[in-house]
Amino acid sequence: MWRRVAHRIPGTREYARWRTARAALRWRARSGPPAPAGPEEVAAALDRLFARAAAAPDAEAVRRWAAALAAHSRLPLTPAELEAQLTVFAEALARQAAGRDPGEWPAQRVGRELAVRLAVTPRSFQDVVELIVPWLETLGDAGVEGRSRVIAGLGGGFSEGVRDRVLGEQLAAAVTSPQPDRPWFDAALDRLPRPACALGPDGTVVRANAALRALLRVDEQGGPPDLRAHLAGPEDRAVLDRALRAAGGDGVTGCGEATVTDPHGVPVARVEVTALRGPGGTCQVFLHDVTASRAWRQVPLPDLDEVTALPEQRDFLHQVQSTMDAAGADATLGLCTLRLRESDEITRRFGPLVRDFVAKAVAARITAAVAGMPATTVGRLDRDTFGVLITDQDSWHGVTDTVRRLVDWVSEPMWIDDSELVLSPAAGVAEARPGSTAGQLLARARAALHTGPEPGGRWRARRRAGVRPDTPHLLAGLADAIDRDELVVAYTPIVRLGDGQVVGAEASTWWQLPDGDRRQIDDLVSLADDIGLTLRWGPWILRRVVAQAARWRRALGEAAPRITVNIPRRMARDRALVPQVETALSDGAVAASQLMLSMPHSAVLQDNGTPLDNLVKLGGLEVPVALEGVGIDFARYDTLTRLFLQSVVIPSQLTATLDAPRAEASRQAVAENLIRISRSVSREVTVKGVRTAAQRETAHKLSAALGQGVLFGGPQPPEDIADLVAAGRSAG
Amino acid sequence: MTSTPDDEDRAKQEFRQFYGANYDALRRQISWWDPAVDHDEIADDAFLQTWRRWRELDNPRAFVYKAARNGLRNGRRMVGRRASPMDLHEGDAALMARPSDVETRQEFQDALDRVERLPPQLRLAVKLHALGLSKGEIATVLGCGKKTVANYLSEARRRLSGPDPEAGGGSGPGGRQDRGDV
Repeated sequence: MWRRVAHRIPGTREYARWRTARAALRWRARSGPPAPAGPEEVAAALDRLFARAAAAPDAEAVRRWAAALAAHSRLPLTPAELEAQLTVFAEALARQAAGRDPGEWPAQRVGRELAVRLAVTPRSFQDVVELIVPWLETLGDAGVEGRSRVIAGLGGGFSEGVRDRVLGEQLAAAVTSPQPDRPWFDAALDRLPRPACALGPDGTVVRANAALRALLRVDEQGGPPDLRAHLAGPEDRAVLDRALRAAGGDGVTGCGEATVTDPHGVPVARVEVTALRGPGGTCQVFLHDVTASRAWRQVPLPDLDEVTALPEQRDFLHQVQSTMDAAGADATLGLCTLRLRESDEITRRFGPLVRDFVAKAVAARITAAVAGMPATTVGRLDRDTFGVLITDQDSWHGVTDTVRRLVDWVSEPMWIDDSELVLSPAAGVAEARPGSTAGQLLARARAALHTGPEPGGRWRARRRAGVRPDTPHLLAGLADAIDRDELVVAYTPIVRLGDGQVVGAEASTWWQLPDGDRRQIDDLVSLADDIGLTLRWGPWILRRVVAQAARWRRALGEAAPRITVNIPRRMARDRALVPQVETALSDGAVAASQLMLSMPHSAVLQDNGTPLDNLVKLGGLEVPVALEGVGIDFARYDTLTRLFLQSVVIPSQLTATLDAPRAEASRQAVAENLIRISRSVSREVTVKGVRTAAQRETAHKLSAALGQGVLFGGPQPPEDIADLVAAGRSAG
Repeated sequence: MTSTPDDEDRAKQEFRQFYGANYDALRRQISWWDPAVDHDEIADDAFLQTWRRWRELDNPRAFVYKAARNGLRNGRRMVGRRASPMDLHEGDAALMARPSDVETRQEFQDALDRVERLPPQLRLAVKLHALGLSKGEIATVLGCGKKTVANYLSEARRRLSGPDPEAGGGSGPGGRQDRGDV
């Protein structure tokens, strides 16, 4: 209460601060770039303004344009609508002729619109251009270049639009006539120089032409691309949805612009989307690349909060509104606001860096809590408040469950150095009602923040010994981390024990976390594999290491190291593994011998001791396989001779005994004999966890071929591995 | 109803006075909102739109700021036409008349930094209010109610008068040590 009034009471610090702020604001408001020097400049500016206003086509001029168009064309607009549209066009053309931003209607687009949507005949177009050209001459601030650009744009856009409209009519005839000519249609679609595709009744792409594949940077030989997955965001997908809804069987409908991306989510073009409906619910979608005409006008980027990289309130509301517009009648939408009540206090006590860390951690937890749920949106509304739009196809119960989970996850302890911090967020939630806007929904959710029950307990911070990993939240966020390109691969050198030459590298996956930490996640991947959590890590890591192998091959030739990837149990037994490996090797144009898959015994053996199919198939592809866990979780030594193994990996727990003191000779004997056994059933033995020169010497004496461990170097970037290879040495 | 030449002249004369009274302030405000855009062009377009609707407008000052705000949204990613050898913010700051003493200058800069850290609607309301717009005019520009504007200004005032969270316990505006005992 005191804070609300303190700044009004003279003598208080709050009052002084407010006075300073007010003085600063008034000072700043008077400052800025200098105005035009004198009354003459002001008068000249006004004259230019009046001239611009006068040069805009008056109502009479627009009526003449409309009459010229209507004289030889049957137009789909009423006279009033046509005049309103022509007025908008004229303003845009005037701006472009003067060298200004024409906004949504550059001349080329106006020409296309006349040809495609208004479907004017060439005669009508010629008549109206004969009126537009002298009008352009009257524009005082339009130079010769600007007027030429406008006329050229009009003509170019119109001819392009006519070509597309005629083709669209032919395509429509091919599919809607009593005897549809599907082969002709398919061939015409394929030959079309514009990106285009055909959609089935369920909305999936059934045919895509080469131009579309090239635009989206997808493989020529692969299946049809999922067009929706190549649209940059919800707004772009909404453009496609509107085009499909508005598409008529008797013509082509253009419905706005969208940004398309390549398979990695990188924007590649800005396109105009048009759709044509065929029989049986099929649809054809045409994309017109307008990137060049938009090149000087950058696509607005969403406003992202600097700390959490979440959308700020304006873009959050925009996304919420798009989701509400696109949601079905049966979907239940709820907007939840979460407020960190302790933000000021955390800042005062720990400083702004910790406050930002907490915000990032909370943002990561909220994102993880709703990861994988359809049609959710997360945003940072202000420094203390986050917004989450939740959609549930079934009921409000699902929304409230999600809100409970959000509060629970945000309230989980977090660790800052050796202190444990437990937050106590306030939550408000409002259900979207028919006809309400995103802004109204947010207002109700914010109001609910203050009317809901006080969360139990106050936030606390206490010292805690050690750090416990935030495993459940990391696990939940791992899937999105792959999509957000937050994962990187590091390589641990594997050296030939005889001469110390680096001949291989073991790949490990690292996650660049939002809080700035970089964490190795192979344990998370194993855990996810154990609990059956589906991740796209497998295909991702295979593509990455194969691409790296190709780069090393090009740079180092025959000396390029072989890359070992540790495959967890379920993935190793999955039928999809072999095709994934085959595809990765084929796409990367890499020899199978440059890759080695390291697997636990449960991944290579069936219960009856026979090799699993995958092992056999990998052998057929000549992909080397290494067996892990020998000596610690492998018992079927009788089956070793039946397995097709390139390498057996001696685990670090056993390697550590290779330089055991004489008193522990028995431990050393186990390791030594296992190395000997492994040597007899495979082509090479790799000892992991080599820390000392003595371990290296012993392993070499026992005819282990390869070694890996801190003695030779830890996980490092691929460039460092290449340097080691080129220098002909290991790090140890 | 068509206008006579006399009506036209009278309107132009009123508009000239309006233009003279507000053009400079609008340009400054636009450059304050975003130093990177071409503030002259946005201001010119805003006044053009205002002139076109001159006879219909009850509050032309509010309308011209609103038009400028819309124009800023469209142009906010465009780089200003004038090439500058300096960083845009430095160049903008260089044009400002400086308070005479160093201490006041620093206090002002700290206070303005705090303004920039306000949420967008509060920030905009505060800036427009500093320029002299009434709450009703600010409501027109922001597209909300007068009561909301009053709340925005009150909340902004409360935040700007509180201790600076970014200072982390150090000196706040005025050079006094903030002991955090609020």
